[in-house]
Amino acid sequence: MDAPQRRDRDPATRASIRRTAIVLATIAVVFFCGVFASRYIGDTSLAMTVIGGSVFAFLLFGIGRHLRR
Amino acid sequence: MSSIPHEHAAGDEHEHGHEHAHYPGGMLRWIMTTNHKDIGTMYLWFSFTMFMVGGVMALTIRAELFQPGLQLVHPEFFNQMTSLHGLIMVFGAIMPAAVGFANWMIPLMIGAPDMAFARMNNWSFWLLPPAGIMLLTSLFVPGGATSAGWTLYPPLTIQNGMGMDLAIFAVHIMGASSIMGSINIITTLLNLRAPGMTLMKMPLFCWTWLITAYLLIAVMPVLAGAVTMLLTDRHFGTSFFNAAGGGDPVLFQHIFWFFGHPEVYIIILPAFGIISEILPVYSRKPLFGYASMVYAVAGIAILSFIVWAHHMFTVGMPTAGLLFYMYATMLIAVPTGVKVFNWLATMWRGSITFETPMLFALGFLFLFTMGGFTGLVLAIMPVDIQLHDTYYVVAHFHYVMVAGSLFAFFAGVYHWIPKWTGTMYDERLGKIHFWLSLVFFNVAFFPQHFLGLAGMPRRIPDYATQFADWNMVSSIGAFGFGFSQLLLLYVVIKCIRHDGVKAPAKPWEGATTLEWTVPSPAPYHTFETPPVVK
Repeated sequence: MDAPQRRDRDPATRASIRRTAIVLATIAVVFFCGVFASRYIGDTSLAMTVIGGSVFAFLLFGIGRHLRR
Repeated sequence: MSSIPHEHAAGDEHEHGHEHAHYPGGMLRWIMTTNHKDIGTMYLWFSFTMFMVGGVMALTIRAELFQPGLQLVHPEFFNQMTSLHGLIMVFGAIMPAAVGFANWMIPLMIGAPDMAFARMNNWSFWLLPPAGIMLLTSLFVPGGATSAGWTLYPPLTIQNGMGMDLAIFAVHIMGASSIMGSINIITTLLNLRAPGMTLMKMPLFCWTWLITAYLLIAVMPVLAGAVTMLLTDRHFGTSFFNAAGGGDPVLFQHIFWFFGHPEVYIIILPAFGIISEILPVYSRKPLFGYASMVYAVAGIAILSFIVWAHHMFTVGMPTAGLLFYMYATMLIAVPTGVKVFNWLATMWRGSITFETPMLFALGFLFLFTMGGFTGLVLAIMPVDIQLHDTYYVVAHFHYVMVAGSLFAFFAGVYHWIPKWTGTMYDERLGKIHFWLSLVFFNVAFFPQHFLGLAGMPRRIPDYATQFADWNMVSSIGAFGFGFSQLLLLYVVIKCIRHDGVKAPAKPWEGATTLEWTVPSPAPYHTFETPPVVK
């Protein structure tokens, strides 16, 4: 009998892994661009607070939705 | 650090699937490897090498400060040493060490066969050596290395020579490596956990790394953006931070510390995770308040994003801003206190034994708490205005970084080295390493509180004679601490050469996590068939 396939080679798992990675990479790109944008927003503290707030929301959502899995 | 056998691992293979080890021999194995254990090993060795390099720089600094007056090095070179010491220790030593532990332990702890992106994992590591070399070779270019401090503040960074460009590229490359590593860790933790292992059943080390990786993804691009703007200011005529062209140097400080303060937690959270694994094992009790520990780590991470300006109390801010950052900073003491009290409660009435990992964990607990308290002192804005840029700050962050992170990493090495090499470490040498490190660390850094309170500024090669005595004591401590670390190297090499007692699969009586179910040393491939967690 064939050995069971490694879980990280299962197509559904690979698709899920790719999805997670794309979301995370997008966040990194948005933050990189956000820093340049903060130069052109009048109030630096406000700009950085907006970014901080979005991180807060992201952490809550990103981790929270996995809590019961 | 591993001595993974070339053949099938002996022992309970039936539990872990087929353990075939196919890899090229010699150097090619390390260059082409996609195995998380190999890559973890390379991260740890790279980190130790950079720790030694950064340590030599620290000793150069302390040798110069042994006596007042200019003794050994040119002041400009002294500034280059302080800058490179900081950059190398933060980006080259501590962060890669934490990633090394993550690579080695996370797949083993969650029952995964490897990291989710094994090839990207290889690339993440191999970006680091060129970046490290770039930082070091900047010492030899015209004008020397960056001398603007690890914080890279303009206008100094705009005025520095070519060494600054190399430092910027090195930070870019190390940042890219960190981001790729973080994406890998998060995807692994979210997608490859063993059946039955819900997030709230993960070992706390995995939790701390999950949150650390989120922090990295959020803040490393910010640092990358900041240094890119520095680069364009230097070479492409922009004026983001150049006041002469309408730019704002203080903006850099805001952006840098938006990265820099979470960075402190990026450095300390994996250390918290290691300590949370070690204390229950040697206390022979489950971790007290697991859920509250998870929420405390998340709380610390979230708060870390809204306190950055406490590093900049002296640059001039509205009073409301000063008060906000002061109180927000103090708030971090709450989740941190939850963790410290939970660790104490874990040990309470436990059957404690004092092997080397436990000693380092206890050393961490005591000294990190002291570093936390001095952090609280510095959070008080009127006090900080007095102590800003003094040796009090240097003492504070070395209690957090060295006695915090480094002691936890030492504890982790001693705790897991039987699993990595299949050989028990030399307990007597381990304990000597601990006591020498503890004593010399305090001799080196405790007097720096006195120096700072007396007003000695940081980042200077010369000082008034009133500071001479404590500087001499501090330098003696620094040399003692530095040379004590050679003992760790000796202990590790002994284990790699199998000079010691053979380690069983579970050498620690109180260990309960999945990595202790595989043989020691851990086979090249593990958990190809996932375990089921009840």
